[in-house]
Amino acid sequence: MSQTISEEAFAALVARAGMPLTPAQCAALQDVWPRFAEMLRQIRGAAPATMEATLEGMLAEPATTFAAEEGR
Amino acid sequence: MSAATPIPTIAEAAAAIAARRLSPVELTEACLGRVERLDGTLHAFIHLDAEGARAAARAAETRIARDGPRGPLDGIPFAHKDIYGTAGLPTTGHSRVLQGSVPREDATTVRNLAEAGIVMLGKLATHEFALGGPSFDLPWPPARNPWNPEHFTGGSSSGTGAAVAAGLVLGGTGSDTAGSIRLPASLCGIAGIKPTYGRCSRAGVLPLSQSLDHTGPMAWTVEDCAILLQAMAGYDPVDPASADRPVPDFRAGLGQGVRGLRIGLVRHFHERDHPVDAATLVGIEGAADFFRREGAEVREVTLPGLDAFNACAWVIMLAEAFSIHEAVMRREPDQFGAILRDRLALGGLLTAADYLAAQKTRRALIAATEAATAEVDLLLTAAQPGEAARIDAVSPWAFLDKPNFTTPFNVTGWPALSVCAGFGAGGLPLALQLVGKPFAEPMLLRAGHAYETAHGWRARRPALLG
Repeated sequence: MSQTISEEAFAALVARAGMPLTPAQCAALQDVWPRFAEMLRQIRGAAPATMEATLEGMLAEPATTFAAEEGR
Repeated sequence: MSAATPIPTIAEAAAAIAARRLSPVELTEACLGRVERLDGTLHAFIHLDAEGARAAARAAETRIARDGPRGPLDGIPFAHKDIYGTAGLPTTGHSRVLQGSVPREDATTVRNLAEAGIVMLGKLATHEFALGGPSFDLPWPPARNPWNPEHFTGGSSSGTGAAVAAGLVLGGTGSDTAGSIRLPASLCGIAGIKPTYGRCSRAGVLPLSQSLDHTGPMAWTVEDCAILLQAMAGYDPVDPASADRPVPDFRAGLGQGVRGLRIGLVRHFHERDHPVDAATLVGIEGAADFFRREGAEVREVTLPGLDAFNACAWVIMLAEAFSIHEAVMRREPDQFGAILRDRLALGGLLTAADYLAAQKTRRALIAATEAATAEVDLLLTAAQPGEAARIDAVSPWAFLDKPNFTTPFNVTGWPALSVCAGFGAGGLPLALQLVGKPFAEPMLLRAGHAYETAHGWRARRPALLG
């Protein structure tokens, strides 16, 4: 996950989310983005690895899983 | 009893009411008097229901005279964070988006507390939808810290922190997704417990992030938190995350001390990962010494870094929060205050793979925490890095700069308690955090109560009370 992002790429992310933000609002968020991207880098780099095609990464369960018990 | 009379704890008031030495009507009037005198400065309430409270107090008085009290909460002045659904009373999340919304039903915990006999004074300020604050662009101002109204309360249960510290109520509800009970409890100098995930129902409470949200009580003392938790806790089939577990007696262990307990000091959290100020460090070390003197074993433990927990929690929280508020974010995001809008927008930029990577990391962090704490019963670390900052100096992006101490235990879902640990050079409260194993709230409360009652901090109230 790149921590820097071009104005065009950032605008594309905002457009994909469907948020009608003003250019000034987008610019302010883009300033913050590198610090948030650092959080994403940590998540992606943490064990179990999710960016590498490892057996461990493929077998990793998320913390929220479906349960079939009635009412759950 | 006048507004200037010393403010009783819930336990003290309950004993006096049971002995017919204190009337719920008098107690409620004293609280309403303080609301009238102080809330123009503190902005703890965003909806005051004085007449409803007076009627409930009179009903409690009649009932108690006839049948005796239902329990220790009968006739106790109380208020709810304004994300708790209250039938017939506005529930707004402190947001323009829900201004004027009135639920048809009470949240489960609101109903539980009402059945226990509380006298509800109204609804308390929160950061917008428990995430955006302190904000000055909402229909209501942010709550102010009673110890110095120029300073921050912490959030998001900001109104509850301020109201309890100033004696506007004797207890209140909070919610905690990344620390929103423990942070304002710390900065306002009161006690707050985030119970185990699933211990208290979230049904009818506006969500922020369903896999991290916890409901729980805030009060002046640990014992009062135990009393409130007793009424709030319990299985609720309406909440899919509710734990079908028996509810223990949360006060049973209070007064039994800490002899034999094994306490893990998570020194790297508050010395390396996010260094606290000198006074807070003295408070934590003092607590560790106290527990040793009282017969507990204190040893250092190493958990995954605070940064890892915070990254995991914020990615999950912002993704889940965006999904809750997506309709407004796509239609008219300026309906929100700027802080909430901008934070939610970050959530809108995440992918499904980002979210699931965070949930996989969460499972790994929980496993690592369980392994590192196998030989201890409780954890001790900071709750805040120091005293409350000025409210106009709080950065909306602070969570990106420094990890907080509370978030790890939202990730794990473990119960955690913040307790006042003295006062700093600025005269504002300091705090420490104790953490228990899942569903071990009685032990956690026992240790917190032992620390609190051995120190003199509960004798001091904010100077503005006069």
